[in-house]
Parts: sequence; structure tokens; C-alpha cells
Amino acid sequence: MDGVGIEKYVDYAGAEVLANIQRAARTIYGLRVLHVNSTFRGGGVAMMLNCLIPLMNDVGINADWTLLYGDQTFSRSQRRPTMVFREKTFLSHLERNNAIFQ
Amino acid sequence: MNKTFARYSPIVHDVVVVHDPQPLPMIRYRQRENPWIWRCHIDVSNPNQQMLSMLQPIILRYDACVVSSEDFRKPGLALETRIIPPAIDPFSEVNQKMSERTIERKLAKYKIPHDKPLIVQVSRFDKWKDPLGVLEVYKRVKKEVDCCLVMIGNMASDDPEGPAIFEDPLLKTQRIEDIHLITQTDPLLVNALQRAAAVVIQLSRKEGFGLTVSEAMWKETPVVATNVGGIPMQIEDGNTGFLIQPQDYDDATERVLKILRDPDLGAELASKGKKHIRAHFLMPRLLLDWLELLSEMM
Repeated sequence: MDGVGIEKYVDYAGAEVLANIQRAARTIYGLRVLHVNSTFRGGGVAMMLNCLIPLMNDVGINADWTLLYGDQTFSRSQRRPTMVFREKTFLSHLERNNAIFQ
Repeated sequence: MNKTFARYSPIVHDVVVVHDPQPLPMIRYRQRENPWIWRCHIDVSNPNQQMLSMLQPIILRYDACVVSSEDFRKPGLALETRIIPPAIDPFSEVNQKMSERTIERKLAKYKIPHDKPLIVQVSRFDKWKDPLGVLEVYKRVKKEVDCCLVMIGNMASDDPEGPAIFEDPLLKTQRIEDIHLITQTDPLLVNALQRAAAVVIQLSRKEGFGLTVSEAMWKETPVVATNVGGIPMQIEDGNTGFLIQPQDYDDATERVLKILRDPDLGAELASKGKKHIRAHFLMPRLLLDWLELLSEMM
């Protein structure tokens, strides 16, 4: 059986879910979807995209994955929103981090 | 960086899905021709107001926002928000089937004994995962039932408090035995540990969704976890596992002991847990949710 095909999930998800997937895909066959994130490796997001993107393609969606690339110093400053979102106290860590990185 | 990226990356797609805040601003540098969706994976149930108001004008340029659970809906954000919980892939290295022999070999390679019950927490060594709380609970459990603790996860390179656990007086002075702290990245070891564990614990003080809880439940291992982030979507207390309040170490100890002393109870929680994950948190469900959202967007 194909290594990435949706059909290998039949025992886990059931035939009905698989049929629903194909039915939902049918209305948007060929749709070009671009996923953008900031890392290929590490963390739950990359792990999930690693699986979701081949599956989207398998059912007829043209899914791409691209990385927000750039200079490392900048990418560290880009972490700011994520961390601050998590908790106010992360601000203090951030100051310490920035002091280290700058 | 967003500006450079947006200018020099060809985007010829019908829909753009932007994950997490880092690439969020790139939308400002593109001529809008098609729907853009923001997938926010992080916990924004209690966001920093100053930061949110700064990002709000950018977020509002998006056509929809997708979050992991109802709790992460941003109140007052006038943007269509959808709930799509994350999911695990049963075929990934961390979840794939594993024989008893492979499990034993994997544990042996890391010198983890398997002749007494294993208590396992899988998560980064940062303070939101409460590693010191894990040690505290283990210390109390160990007094009652002889067992072994394994904590495995990345060192949080962006968190200065990460290494603090290795300097912790509990570890250094009290000489509690049978503690294994592992910072290597080895998905197959995580897989083996989640299978071999008598109890998997997740004592996070704050959590995004908590996929490691799903991973353990999928392997039919009983889980004791805190009632934060997406964990209550996975664990119904007393049914698919045990839910406790963050930093309630008495309760955590009691629940862990309950499972260690009553394997039938543990097996029942674990079996219901696996069914719950199968029904709600596997990859095909995630794919279906996305397809439905995308077709609505067009």
C-alpha cells in the first residue's frame, strides 16, 4: 500500500470518515493551498504539517509548504509575539534573551 | 523579515494558511487576491493585551482564524474564528506500532529499568510544564510504591529557566533514586516510554493543546494530567483519565497511586482513553475539518 495514502487510515478512522473526506475534497479539487510557518522541524506544528500536507495532496488538493526564511537575528526577534502571547511574565525572559542575543 | 519574505516568495495559491504569529505580518506586504487564514496554535486564552492590540490590525486583515479549542477564542476579535483541534498521526515514529521486544531494547539502550512501574512525563523542560512539580509528586509516590521516573523532552533553548531543574536541590541533596532525565530527541524512545509507562503524567501549569497526552492515550496508557489548555478536551475526569488542578500535588499523588495500586482501573481508563482519541484526535478528522473550511472559503 502507498506510504502516504489516505486509505491506510481506514482501520483507524473508518470507511465513512474516508468517504466524507473525499466528498469534501471533491468540491475543491485542484485548489492551490499554501501553508507558511517558521520551522520544518521540531514542535507540534511542523509534525502535524508533515503529515497533513501529503494527505491534502493525496485527496486532490495542491498543498504547498513554505518557510518564513530570513536572517537568524531577525527570526529571534520574531519569536517575540509567540512568547508574549503565552504569558506576561515571558516578557522578562524576553528581555534576558534579547540581552543575550544582541 | 516578513517584508523580504513576502516580496521574494512567489505566492500563486488560491488560499494561504499562516501558522502561528511569526509569519503573521506578511499579509501586509501582499496584494490581496484570495483568502488568507491564520492558524493560531498557541494558547491565547489570556493574551497580553498590549501585544494583542498591536497585532489586532494585522489579524483583522485575515479572512478567518483557526484555534485549537473554545477557550482560545479571542473575545472581542471581530474575525470569524473556527475551532480545529490538533491531531496525532498513528503512523508517525512517535505513535507507530511497536513490539514488546523493541520497547525493551529501546529502554535498555537508555538504561531505563523496567522491573518496577514507570512514571513518565514527556515535555520540554520549561517551567510551564512544572518539572519540579513532577519531582515533588514522584517523591511522594515513591514513598508508597517503589517506582521509577522518566522525564524526557527538549531543553528549551529560548527559556533561561530550563536548566534550573538540573540544579534543583530535590535532585541534588535528597538523593531520590530512579530518576531519569533525558534531553535527547528520539521519537522512538518517546514511543517506547509512553507504551511502557504504568502512568503518564502531564502536570503542566499552562498548555497549548497537549498532544503528548493524546499520544499516551492512543497507546492505551492511563494518564493523570492538569486541567489546562486542550487537555480537558482529551481527558474526562474518571472516564478517559484523571484530571487534576495545576500544582495540586496531593491530588496528583493520590491519582497516580490509585492507578498504580489498581491496574484494572488503569486499564479501564486507558481503554476508554484510546477510544476517545480514535474518535476525535486522529489525522483523518483534522484533514476533514480543513477540507470543509477550505471549501467554505472558496
